[in-house]
Amino acid sequence: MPLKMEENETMTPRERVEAALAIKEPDRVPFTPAFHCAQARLTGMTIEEFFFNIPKSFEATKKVWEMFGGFDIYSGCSPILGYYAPIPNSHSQIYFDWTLPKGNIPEQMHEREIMKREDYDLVIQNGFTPFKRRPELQREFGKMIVQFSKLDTVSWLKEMDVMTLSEAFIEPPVDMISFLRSFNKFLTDIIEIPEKVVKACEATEEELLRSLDLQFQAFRRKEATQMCLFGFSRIATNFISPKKFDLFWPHIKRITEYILKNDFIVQYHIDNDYTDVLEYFTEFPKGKIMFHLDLTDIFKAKEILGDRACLMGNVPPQITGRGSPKEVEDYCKKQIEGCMEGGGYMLGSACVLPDEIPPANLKAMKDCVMKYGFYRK
Amino acid sequence: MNKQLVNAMAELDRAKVLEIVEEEIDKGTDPSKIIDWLSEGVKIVGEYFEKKEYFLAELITSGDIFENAFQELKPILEKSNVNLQSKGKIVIGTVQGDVHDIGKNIVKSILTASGFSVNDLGVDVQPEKFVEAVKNSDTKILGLSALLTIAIDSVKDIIKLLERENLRKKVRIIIGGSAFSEEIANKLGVDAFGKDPQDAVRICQKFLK
Repeated sequence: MPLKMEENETMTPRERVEAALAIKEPDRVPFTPAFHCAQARLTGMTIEEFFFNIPKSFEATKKVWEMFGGFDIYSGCSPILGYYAPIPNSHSQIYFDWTLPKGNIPEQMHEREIMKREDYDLVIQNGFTPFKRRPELQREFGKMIVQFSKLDTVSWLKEMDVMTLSEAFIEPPVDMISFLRSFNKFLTDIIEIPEKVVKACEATEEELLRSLDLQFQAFRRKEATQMCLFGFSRIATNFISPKKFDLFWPHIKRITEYILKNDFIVQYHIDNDYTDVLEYFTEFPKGKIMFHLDLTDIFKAKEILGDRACLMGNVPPQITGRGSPKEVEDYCKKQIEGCMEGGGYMLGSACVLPDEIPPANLKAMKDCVMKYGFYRK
Repeated sequence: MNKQLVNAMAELDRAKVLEIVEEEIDKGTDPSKIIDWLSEGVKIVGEYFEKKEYFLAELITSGDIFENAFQELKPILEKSNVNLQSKGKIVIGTVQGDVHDIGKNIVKSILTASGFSVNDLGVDVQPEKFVEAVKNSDTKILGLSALLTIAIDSVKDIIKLLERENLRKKVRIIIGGSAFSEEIANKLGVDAFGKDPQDAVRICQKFLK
């Protein structure tokens, strides 16, 4: 069923998001929450069931869309695939130690020093392959891909004219190294042996770009607006100085240019706070990059990047998960009013919506765009 | 005071810190004095952090260098039976349902380097374990950490249990981690929210005044 258009709406969700990405004013602010497993609780199942039962997770997702009159972007159903992905990334169990969901406790990483300081040379020589601890999981990944391909996602989204939040993803080499070293050891390395860390990043960049090629080949669609999630969390300026961030900028820049060359919009999914380094991103062309912000100040981002990059996020889980509907409304209203002018803005959660978001709070977010998010033409 | 040692620590020069510590050991300096000088250096690191001249990376490195130096001093401390003067005892842990320990470990490291004795209960700690640790020690501070917002309910359970055991007034509770905020701290009725490791140290020092 196509989504029912509300009064004053003149665009489909895809048209609305495409306008926002192009830094144009759509009919109203798009509402683009990124779900993790919130659909589970909203439909009365456990996170565990939602995570492992792919068809059921899709049914639950569709049900949530019906409950809330739809959203402007599709962020997926069960997030299980990433945990079996054979490409180097922090979520993959092939490289990292994760406990997958149990009941309503979500998946969690047991971060430890997998790579020792003396292993930098190994990474420089051989990339991330020596750290594949469970390569056999690649077979599971193949089976899951088959399960996902059996869902009627494509036709369902086509019918509603809704875009997918991201259709490829990559993390910069520095994040992969940071997770392998573990957070504290990595930050100590940045202070004590920065040249070695940078060298390892340079040596592994190509390996990560090749993982993107595979995804581009598999998911690229002709004449469609598509986004590639470029996610990083470990070089935030609440962790390291802007001067240290500068060490890793060349890799971020090269990966960004590679994604752009492949006709995907770069979606920076940047966890933690990058407010002090937003200026770096001003060199990219208008409408080709967008930001999904966590703790980065979205108002400051609007000032610095508002003329070229679409912004979303920064609504904290403490508000959406634990606040009252009134608190949610107040927070979102302030953000909408401060960011909507001129387009290039979508209302979304910081990182993902908390799994325990009460239905009334999700409704409050949606009501907020309907109440305050229309552009007057 | 060995100013060279204090400065080496403040400048995060691990090799120099270890070299001076070794020299002081050879000279037969009281190990507790050496630890005080190291802590003085860590204090300067904290001041730089507050002025935004240093970041979390520098703060963590200072804790790591302190730990490194402390390991050098440990055999002498054990041999000489020196009782280190603790600034106060703290029970700390990641609450039930959450296994993330990065934030907790950073706070533990900085608190230790600042002279506190920290009893770390680990991760995914049941409320009963926290209460037992409070009951069986003279700790005046309970530090609770979490990354997942679902773990907020575990904090509620800990408070309830402390109240039931008449222990709530015995301890000041400080919470920290991505799951929390100042507002959540107020709602939960805990005594403080530590926004970063340095903030946690400052709050704990204030609690013990």
